[in-house]
Amino acid sequence: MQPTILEIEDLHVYYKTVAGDARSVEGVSLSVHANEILGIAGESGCGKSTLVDGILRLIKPPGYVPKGRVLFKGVDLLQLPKATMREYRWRDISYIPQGSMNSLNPVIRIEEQMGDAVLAHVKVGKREASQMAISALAKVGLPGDVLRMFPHQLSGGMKQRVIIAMSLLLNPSLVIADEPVTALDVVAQKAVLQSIARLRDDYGMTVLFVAHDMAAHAEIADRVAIMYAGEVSEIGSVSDVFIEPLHPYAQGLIGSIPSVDRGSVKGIPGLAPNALEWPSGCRFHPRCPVAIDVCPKENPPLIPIRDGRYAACHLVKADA
Amino acid sequence: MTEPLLELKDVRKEFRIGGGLGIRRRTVAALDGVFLSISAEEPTVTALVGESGSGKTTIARLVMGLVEPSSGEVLYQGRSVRDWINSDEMAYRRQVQMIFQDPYSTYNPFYRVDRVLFSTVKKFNLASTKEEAQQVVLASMRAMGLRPEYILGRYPHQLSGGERQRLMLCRILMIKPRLIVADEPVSMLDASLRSIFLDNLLQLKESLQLSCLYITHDMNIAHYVADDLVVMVHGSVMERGDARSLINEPMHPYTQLLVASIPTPDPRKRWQDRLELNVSTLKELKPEVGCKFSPRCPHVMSVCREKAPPLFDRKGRRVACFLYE
Amino acid sequence: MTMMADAPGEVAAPVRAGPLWRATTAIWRASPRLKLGLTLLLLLLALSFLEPIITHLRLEGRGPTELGTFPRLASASLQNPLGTDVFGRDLLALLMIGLRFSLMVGLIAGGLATAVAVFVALLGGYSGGRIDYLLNTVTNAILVTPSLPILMAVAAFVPIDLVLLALVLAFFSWPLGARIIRAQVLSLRERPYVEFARVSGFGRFGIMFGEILPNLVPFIIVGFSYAVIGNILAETGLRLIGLGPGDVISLGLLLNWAMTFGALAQGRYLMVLGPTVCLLLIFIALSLINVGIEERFNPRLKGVTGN
Repeated sequence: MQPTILEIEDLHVYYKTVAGDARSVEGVSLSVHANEILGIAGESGCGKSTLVDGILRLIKPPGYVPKGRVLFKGVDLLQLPKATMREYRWRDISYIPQGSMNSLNPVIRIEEQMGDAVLAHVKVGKREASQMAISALAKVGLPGDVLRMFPHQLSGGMKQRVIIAMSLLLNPSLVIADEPVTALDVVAQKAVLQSIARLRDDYGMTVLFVAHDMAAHAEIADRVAIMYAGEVSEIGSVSDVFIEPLHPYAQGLIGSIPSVDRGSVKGIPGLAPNALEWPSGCRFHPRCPVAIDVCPKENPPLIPIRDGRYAACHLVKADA
Repeated sequence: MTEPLLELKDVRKEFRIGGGLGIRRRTVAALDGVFLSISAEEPTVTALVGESGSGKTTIARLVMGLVEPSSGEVLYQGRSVRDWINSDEMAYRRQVQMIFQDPYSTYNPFYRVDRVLFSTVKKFNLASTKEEAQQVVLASMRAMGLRPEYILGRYPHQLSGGERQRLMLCRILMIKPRLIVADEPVSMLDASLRSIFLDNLLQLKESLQLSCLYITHDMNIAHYVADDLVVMVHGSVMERGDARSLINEPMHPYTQLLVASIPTPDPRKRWQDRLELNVSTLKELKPEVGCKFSPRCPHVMSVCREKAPPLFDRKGRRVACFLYE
Repeated sequence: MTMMADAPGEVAAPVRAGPLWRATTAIWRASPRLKLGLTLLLLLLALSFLEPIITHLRLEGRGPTELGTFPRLASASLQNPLGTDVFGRDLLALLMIGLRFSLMVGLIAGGLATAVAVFVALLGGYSGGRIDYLLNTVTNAILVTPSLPILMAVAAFVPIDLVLLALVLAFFSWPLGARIIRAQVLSLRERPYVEFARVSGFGRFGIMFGEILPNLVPFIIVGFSYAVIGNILAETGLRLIGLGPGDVISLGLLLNWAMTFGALAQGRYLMVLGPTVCLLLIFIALSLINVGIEERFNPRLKGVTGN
C-alpha cells in the first residue's frame, strides 16, 4: 500500500448567501496515494471544483471553510500562514485551473512565459531556466522547439500540455487539475490525457484530477471518487467502480454514458438538487430507483465495503 | 429514386477577415466544396462529426438560411433554401427547425419560458383560439414528460439545462418539422441527462418520422443516435457512410485517428498506444492545396499534397482519400 | 407517447405578472440610490406642477409675475422666503415656475432625443449594411456639428416656445445616445436568442422590438437621464447669456436676471442660490438614477442580456 500524500479529513466548504449557507462541500474525506491518479467525478453542482478550491485554500468570501483538515505529507494546509501556502502551491503542489490554457499571454513566447514562472519562485540563470523548461515539456511529450513559439501557433491541446508542463517546472509531487480536457477536441483530449498518465507512469508523480467526463477517468485514473450533492457517494478502483458500481447514483451515472461499445443507455430522471436546500436524509433519495424508508430520514455515511472500496448507501453493507 | 430531402452540392463558404487601411483582407474558407445529402425515403439521423473549425456549424447555418453559400447550392427538396425563404419563409420553417447547443442563452432572459412555446403556436398557426393554444402547449409538455405546473410561468434561469432543452423538444413536437438540425444539443448537459434527451430525440424521430442532421464532435454520441455519419476536416468531407460500420471499420486515416482517440468508459479497454511526439500537429495546419488532412496523415503520399481527393465509392462508403482510388 | 417524467421540481409558484411590470418593479427595488433619485425627481416635479396652487395660496391671489406685488428687493421674510426681485416679484414663486419650465424642456427634449436615438440605433445596429452605414453617417454628422452657435442663431432669430426649443435641443442631443445604444445593439444582435428568433420566423422589426429592445432598457434609462440633464443645462446656458424670450421664465433666465442685477455684489445671495440649488438637485436626482441603474445592471448586465 502506497503512502498517502494528501489526506482530506471531513472537509466542509460553505457559501454565505441571503438565503442562508449554501453547503457546497460537506464532510468530504479522501486520501490520495503516492504515484496514483485519483479522479473526482460528478456532474455540475456536485461540488468537485469547490472541493479542489477548498484543498488549495482558494476559497474567497462569501465562501468559507468551517471545518476540516487537509494534510499534505502530514502538514495541515488549512492552518499554514498564507505565505507558506503560496510556496507549497508551486513547489510541492501544482494547480491547473479550469480553462487555464487560455491564460497564456498570446504575444509572449512560450520560453519567456515558462521562464517567468520559474524565476518567480527560484533564483536561477536563464540557461538553467531553459533547461528546466525543456525537461518539463519532455514530461508531457512536447519537443523543445515549442519554446520558441507563440501560443497562437499552438493548438488547444498543445497549449494545455504547455500549461501542464509549466505546472511541473519546480518538480511538485502532487498535481491537481480541474477539468483539464473539457474544452478540447477528442484527438487533443487523448494527447492531454496520455500526457497526464505519463506523469504517473514515467515520472512517479501523483495526480488528482477533476472531470465530469466519466470516460476520461476510465482511461487514465487508478481510483475514482464520485461526488453527488457535496458529498462523496462512492470511491474505489476504477475497474471496480465502473464494472460494478455499488451506489445507485454511480450505477445510474455509469449506465448513462453512451459509448461505441455499448447499446442502449439509461439516464437518471429528476433534477440535481441545489446547495441551498439539499434533500433530507440521503441526498440522492428523490431520484433513487431503489430508495427505502430510511433513506429520506438518515444520510448514510461513507463506509468501507471491501478492499479500498467505500460507498455511502443504506443498501450497501460492508462485507463481514 | 426520389430526390434527397437535403442536399449540399459543391458548397463553398468563405469569410473575409481583417482588412482596413492598406491591409489586405484574408479569405478563410470555412467550407470547401462540400457534397452532402440526406435521403427523403425514410427518417434518418445523420451525424456530422468534426473538430472545431471543421465547418459543421457553418453547414447548420446554411441549412437554416442564416447565411448564404459563396458558391454551390443548398437544396431542400430540390429547391434552394434561399428560394424557399424568399417565397414563403414560414413554409420552410415549418419543415426545417433547429435545436441549439446552449440551453441557456437561446432563451431571452427578459421573458418567461412560456413565450417560447406560445409564440411558436402563434407563428405557426397551430391554434385558432387562446384555449386551443393552451391545449396544444400543455399536450406537448405532457408528451415530453414535463409538468406544466412546475415549468410554465418561470424564467429561464429558474429551470435546469435539461428542462430547457426538453422544452425545445416540445416546440419541435408542436411544429412537426420534417428535418431538424441539432447543433451539439447535449454537450452542455450533464452526463445523466444526455441519454434522456437523446432517447427523446430518437422517439421524436419515430413518432414524427423526421430526419435529423446531428452535429457533434463526440463519436460516442454519434454512435448512439446516428444512422449515417459524415466526417469533416477543415471544411471538407473526408468520409461518409453507415455509422456503425464506419466506426467499426474506419477507412479514412482521419477517421481512424478519430476512432482511436475515443475514450471509452470501460477501464478494461484503455488506450494501448503511447503518446507520440508529433511536432507537425503544431496548429492544425490548414493546407491551401491538396488533401486537408495531409499535414497529419501517417499514410500521406505526394499526390495528397498536390490535389484534394474527391469522394471515392467503396463498399457503400464514400472516402476522400487517394488510398482508395 | 409519453416520455420519462421529471421528479418534482421547485416548489413556489411565481407571481403571474407581465414582463413590463416585472421590469418596472425590479428596477424600482433594484437599489436604494435609484429610489432616492427617483423620489427626488418626482418631488421636484410635483413641487413645480403644484406651483399654481401653492402660489395662489401663498400670495393670496396675486399673480407671481405681476410687477410691484411686493416691495422691491426685499430680503427674505416669511411672506417672501427668498425675498423679492428688482421688480417686486416673489422669488420663490418665480423659482418654482422656472423649475417647472426647465424640467419640462429637459424631459420633453430628453424624451424625444432618446426615442429617436433608440429607433435609429436599433434600426441601424440590427440591420447592418447600407442602412447602418447611412444612419451612422447621419448620427456622426450631427454629433460633430457645433450645436451652440446654431442654437444661439436659432434662439436669436426665431421666437422660441417650449415645443420648438425642445425640438431643437433634441435634434442635437439624440446622436450621443444613438451611438452608445448602437454599440449595445451590435453586441446583443449576436446573442443566441436572437438567432433562435430568426430561425423561428420572426422578422426584422419583431426581433428589434421584441428581443433586443427589452434588453436595452437599462441603457435607455441611463441615456434618457443624460439627455435630460444635458438639455436642461443647454437651455440654462442659452438663457444665461440672454437668448430666448424674456418672458418665459426658466432657471437659466432667473440666473440671467440675477447676473444682470449683480446679485452677488449686492449680497442678494438667495437670488443666485435658488436657481443653482434647483439645478443641482435635478442633477443629483438624475445622477442617482444613473448610478442606481448601473449599480444594479452593470455587473449583472451579463445576466440581463444573456451573456
